[in-house]
Amino acid sequence: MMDTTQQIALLRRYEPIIRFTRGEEFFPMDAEAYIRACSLWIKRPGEPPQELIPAGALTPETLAMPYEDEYGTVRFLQFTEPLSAAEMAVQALRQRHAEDAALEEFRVGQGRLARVGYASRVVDALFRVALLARGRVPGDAAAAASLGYRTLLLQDPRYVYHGRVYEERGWVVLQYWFFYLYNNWRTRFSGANDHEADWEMICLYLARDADNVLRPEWVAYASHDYAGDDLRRHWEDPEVQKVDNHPVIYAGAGSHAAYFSPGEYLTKIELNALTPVTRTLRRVQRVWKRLMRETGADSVPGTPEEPVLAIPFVDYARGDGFAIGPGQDAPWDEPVRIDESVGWVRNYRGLWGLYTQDPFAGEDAPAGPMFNRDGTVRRAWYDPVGWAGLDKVPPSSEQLAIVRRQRQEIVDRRTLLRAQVEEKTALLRGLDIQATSIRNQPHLRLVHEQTLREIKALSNEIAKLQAEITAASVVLENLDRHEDLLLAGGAQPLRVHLRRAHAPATLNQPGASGVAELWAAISVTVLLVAFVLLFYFNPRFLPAWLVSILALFAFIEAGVRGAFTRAVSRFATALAIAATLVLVYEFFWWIVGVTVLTLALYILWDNLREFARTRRPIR
Amino acid sequence: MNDAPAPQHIPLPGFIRRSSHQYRWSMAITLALLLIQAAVFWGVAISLFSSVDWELVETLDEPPEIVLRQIIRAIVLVPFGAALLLCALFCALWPRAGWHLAMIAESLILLVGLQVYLSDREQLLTDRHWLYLHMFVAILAVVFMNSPEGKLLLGQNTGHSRADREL
Repeated sequence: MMDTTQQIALLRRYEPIIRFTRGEEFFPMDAEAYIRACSLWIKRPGEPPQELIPAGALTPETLAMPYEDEYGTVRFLQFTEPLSAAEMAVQALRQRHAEDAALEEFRVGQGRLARVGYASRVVDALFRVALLARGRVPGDAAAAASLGYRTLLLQDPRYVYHGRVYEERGWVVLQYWFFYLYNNWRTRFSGANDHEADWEMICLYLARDADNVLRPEWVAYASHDYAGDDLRRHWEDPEVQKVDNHPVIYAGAGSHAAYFSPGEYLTKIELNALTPVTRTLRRVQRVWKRLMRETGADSVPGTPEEPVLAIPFVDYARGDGFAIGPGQDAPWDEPVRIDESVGWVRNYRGLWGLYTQDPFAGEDAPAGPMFNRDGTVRRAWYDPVGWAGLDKVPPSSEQLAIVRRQRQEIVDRRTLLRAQVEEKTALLRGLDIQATSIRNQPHLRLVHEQTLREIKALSNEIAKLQAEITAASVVLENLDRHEDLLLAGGAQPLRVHLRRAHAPATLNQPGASGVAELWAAISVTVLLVAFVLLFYFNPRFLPAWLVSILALFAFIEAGVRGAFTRAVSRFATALAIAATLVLVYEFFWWIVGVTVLTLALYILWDNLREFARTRRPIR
Repeated sequence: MNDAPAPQHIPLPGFIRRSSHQYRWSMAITLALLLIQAAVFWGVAISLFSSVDWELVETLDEPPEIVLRQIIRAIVLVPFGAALLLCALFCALWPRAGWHLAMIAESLILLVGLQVYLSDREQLLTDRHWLYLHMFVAILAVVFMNSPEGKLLLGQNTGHSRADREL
């Protein structure tokens, strides 16, 4: 076990560099400074929120006091107070006159709606309308947080991360936790949500080599509550940018999600409420693709499916703004080491900012580094190895031993199987001799039949064992090859674990034009207005007009996105299927009759052909 | 030793030999389907026009409703026939554009056919048997043009178009 000094030294050796997007307003800070500036509130079921400790009186020590609450109670911190009219005016003026160059430097890229289809646009419109009704962070909270953060930064101009060192199953995990005072992704960058407080994290996985020296092997960046293999990259993966030994993080503007490469990331968020609909749509899509022999019909098992009816958001992680880390615009201050021994980490299970009671939870502040919003312990905290899918991956230094152990297990198993085959073969031969000897004895009919059944069962069993032996041999061959590769020090496959790695959206993709942007902005409204007008002015031919309008919109969209051929093909096929159903309905018995007749004629033709062939003299 | 030919000298069956001419076959079948459809549309239209007693129509101030309906039926069919002819022409000259136009034309035929089927329950506008025939031929055309052979008209991009890669 390492002592605190060693842990801090290790954390500092690999501390990351964070590159922000221009326009970013919040940077990693000391969580304890934030606590001191907050008030503590409690929301009991059926009651309005109550202030427990006012701002200025709260300290990390008081926050760390153990407490008991009834079920459904939520404790939360609150940083921002509503701005006065004067403060709002100051903030508005500040933005309007570009006092802060960074604020004005951010320019949006290709609109998020132009990158997705109609269904997502409609869901997005509903989501935004719902935002008016459900709980959300007040409109002036972002401005107030920005002012408050600047005030804190003036008092304590340090950039700080919180570090945790955790050893488990051969891995030494360095967790870098970044605390941001506010997430203004929605209000500032057209993202999904705003909330007070934001905890982000990356993990570095180190293992001891043959010389017992700790070396980094994997690195995982947290991004929007995702988990699993797609989060991590091998340390040698070219996608992991490094300056000396410091991995580079590209932080999403406002969201602070961590990315390996600079760019604009299209994040599609599926609503849980729409799960049954999306599941059905996925099935229909799969059947359609298989029917039409379209690409993607036979996806690799385990590959996550593309979200359907998802709300699109763009995460701008351009990395063209302020940078923190060794050799950057600002260095890191002394890290704050955290683990379960830190009171506020272990004992405070509440939210770190305003509790808006948003049913989608996106506008509620997150809990601390150790907890989920519901107070349960985060997987990233109690199982950082499994969180990034590394539970199945051994450190490099252990791989050879594991390959050999696995090989030996298979060899043993194969030997056992071969012995079983021999034993069962002897038994099978005995039974066959027995069956042959009693086959013409009427008084032994039942015994004979029983013997035949046993022969069949035993024969099947042996076939299965043989198949298993063959499979084991093939696996052994591959394990041998893998062992040779390891012995030769050959390059390990770095990216085979990735199923759907998040990659930046291509800026030059179809639809990047202004026409596509404009169409994306107006299409849903035009579509809905057209429906209403049709309903009132031409209800007689409503179905045909509806289909025509939908098809027209789909064709325009397809043309803009460069998928016209597929759209035309799909539309025609759908109509052909509908027309076929009509014909089947109208001529069902005729169709049955014609099918049977055709079958009869085919059988006749086939038989006659065979007959003629047998009569033909062989030359 | 027998005198059986070596495998490489065994003539290929007809359907395989034809594969080198598949594009021409696809074109021919597409054109045939489109032209047959156009002929049916115009044939029905001409027969409807010729069955109208034009002398009677001229003498009457207001022709009987049944005659009017017959004229409307015929008039509706003419543009479909013309559109299909145009598609056939495009297919022959610019196959890729022709394929798209033909698919749109077939979609329109099916859409109008379905609308008429659903709304014209009294069969005032159409003779049901002709309607079913138009739908049937349009279905055949769509099925063929959507098949790998039919998509040969799309040229090199078939199956590898950007849209296919995207979706």
